[in-house]
Amino acid sequence: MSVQRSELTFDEVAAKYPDFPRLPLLKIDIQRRGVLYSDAALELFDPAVHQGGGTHIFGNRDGKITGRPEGMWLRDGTSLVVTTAPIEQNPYIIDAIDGKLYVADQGKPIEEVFYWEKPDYYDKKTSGGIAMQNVISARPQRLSLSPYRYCWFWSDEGGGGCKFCDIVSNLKQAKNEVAMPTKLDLTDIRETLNEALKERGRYTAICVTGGSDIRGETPFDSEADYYIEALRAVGESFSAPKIPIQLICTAMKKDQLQRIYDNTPVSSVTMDIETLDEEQFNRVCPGKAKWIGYKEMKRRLFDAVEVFGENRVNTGTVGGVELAEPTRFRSEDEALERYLSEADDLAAHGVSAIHCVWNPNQGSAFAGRRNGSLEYYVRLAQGLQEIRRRHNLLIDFDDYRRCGNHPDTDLARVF
Amino acid sequence: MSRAKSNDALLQEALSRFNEEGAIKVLTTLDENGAPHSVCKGSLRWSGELIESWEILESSETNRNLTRAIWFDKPIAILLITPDKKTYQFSVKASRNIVSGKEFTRAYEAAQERYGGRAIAGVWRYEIVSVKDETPSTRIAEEQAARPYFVHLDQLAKKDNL
Ligand code: SF4
Repeated sequence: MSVQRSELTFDEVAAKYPDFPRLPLLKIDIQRRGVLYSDAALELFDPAVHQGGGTHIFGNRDGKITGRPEGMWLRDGTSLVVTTAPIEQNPYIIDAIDGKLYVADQGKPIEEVFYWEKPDYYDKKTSGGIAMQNVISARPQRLSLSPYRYCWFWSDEGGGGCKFCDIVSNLKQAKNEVAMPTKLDLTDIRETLNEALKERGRYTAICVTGGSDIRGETPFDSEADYYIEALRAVGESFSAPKIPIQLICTAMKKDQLQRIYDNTPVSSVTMDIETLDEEQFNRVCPGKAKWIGYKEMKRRLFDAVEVFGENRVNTGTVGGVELAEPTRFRSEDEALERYLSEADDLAAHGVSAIHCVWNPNQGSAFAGRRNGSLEYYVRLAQGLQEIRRRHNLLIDFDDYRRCGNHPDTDLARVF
Repeated sequence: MSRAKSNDALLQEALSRFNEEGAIKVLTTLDENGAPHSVCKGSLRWSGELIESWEILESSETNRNLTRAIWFDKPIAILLITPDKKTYQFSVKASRNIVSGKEFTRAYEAAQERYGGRAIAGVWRYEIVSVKDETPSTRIAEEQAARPYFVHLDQLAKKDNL
């Protein structure tokens, strides 16, 4: 039996939720459906000025990793971190009219959009000869660093990677197409970061993330070690002891987190639980289920608040993956109720739950499945932000500016 | 719009005085409950094509209200008082918030120069909806001409009777 979903159109959802801002609503729908660039839109893309698609740890719905615009803004400064999707999947069309870029649907322009601008360091190379844009990628206001790009949950003893995840196939492709190394050299990191920081006013945060590493005396020691190395290398560029760095790592034990916090300039941590239901978690994230477990993940998140402090810990979820069949949820309503009650429990312990819009990427086990309806994502974003408000939790380290990929944290702009 | 001048002439006059040294500019936005919130906004300027301002604080009430304004199409007012007390009220809409890119960098560097190294959170741009001449002497003359009943009788009495 398939999951019962809302069938409301964009206009119907906008009318039903008048308190939900229209630009973030459009963002959600664009993220949900993906985009396709028209030839006219690509003609407006100037590689000397605009930011081209870089390599990231995760891929796209159409399987292309480079050779396209990286992202866009809406006129309110909202970032569109988008996935490109083939025409059969009914994406929004990015089109150009009279020299201006628009997002269009059914042949009608809906809203003007603007290509992200290219960072100054993007065309440079490190002394080791690696393109700096492959060492650290950028969003309009954030630097993203993935020191290690393999995830050991996909190894023989890993138990299985997350079903929505394409990290390994994406890494293989990036190695073939742009000679992306699995592990970054610290000198390359230092050189790239120093070059990036020359651009005044551009960056407000650094996000450091990568694949999970089960190796070590106790599981994930090895992951903690390489994050400490990389974070310390990052810290060499700054005079302050703590800087706005978000570490997105595996849910480690308290002593591992303490070691990272005490020895590096990191100031916030994100440990992704991916989906807020134990049964679906076990199905979708078998590696995490084997090596950590759902209840233990929650405990470790609560511990992280003791290490990092209030308003410094969150957990990412792949919004809509709870609807991926087979699932125990019979409807979006049921899934949402469960999801938000778990988010409320996390918030009561000082942990924010955030979501991104799940895209069934081509290189993942869930390729071709359906994500949630627009109404589902509206209720999810609104629900998560309301929970944060109720529990007085700030999400500054993962907001529209420091990240830009989470519709629920976009809403935090006005609170 | 003022009845004394055509819309266009008044707009041109107001804009020509927008960047005058010593002019006071007040930006009024609406909060979550619809209550007005006013701040003196020295960075408001007419670029020759549009009105824009810098926002220093990410968490300021004005920044949040401007975001609400661009999301929910809420009205915004800008009051301009020139050094010789000519007063204009612009009704505007938030049209764009620039937070990154070369235009932002230029503003960021200019703001740092002006504010001794302080950063800005963003540049807001405004679309002009209308302008009114709110100069007290102009408004008094307008009311006297158009609404003759709005007067106190002693103002009309023979001086000898007072
Ligand atoms: S933990 Fe899961 S989502 Fe993260 S990289 Fe590994 S398999 Fe992918």
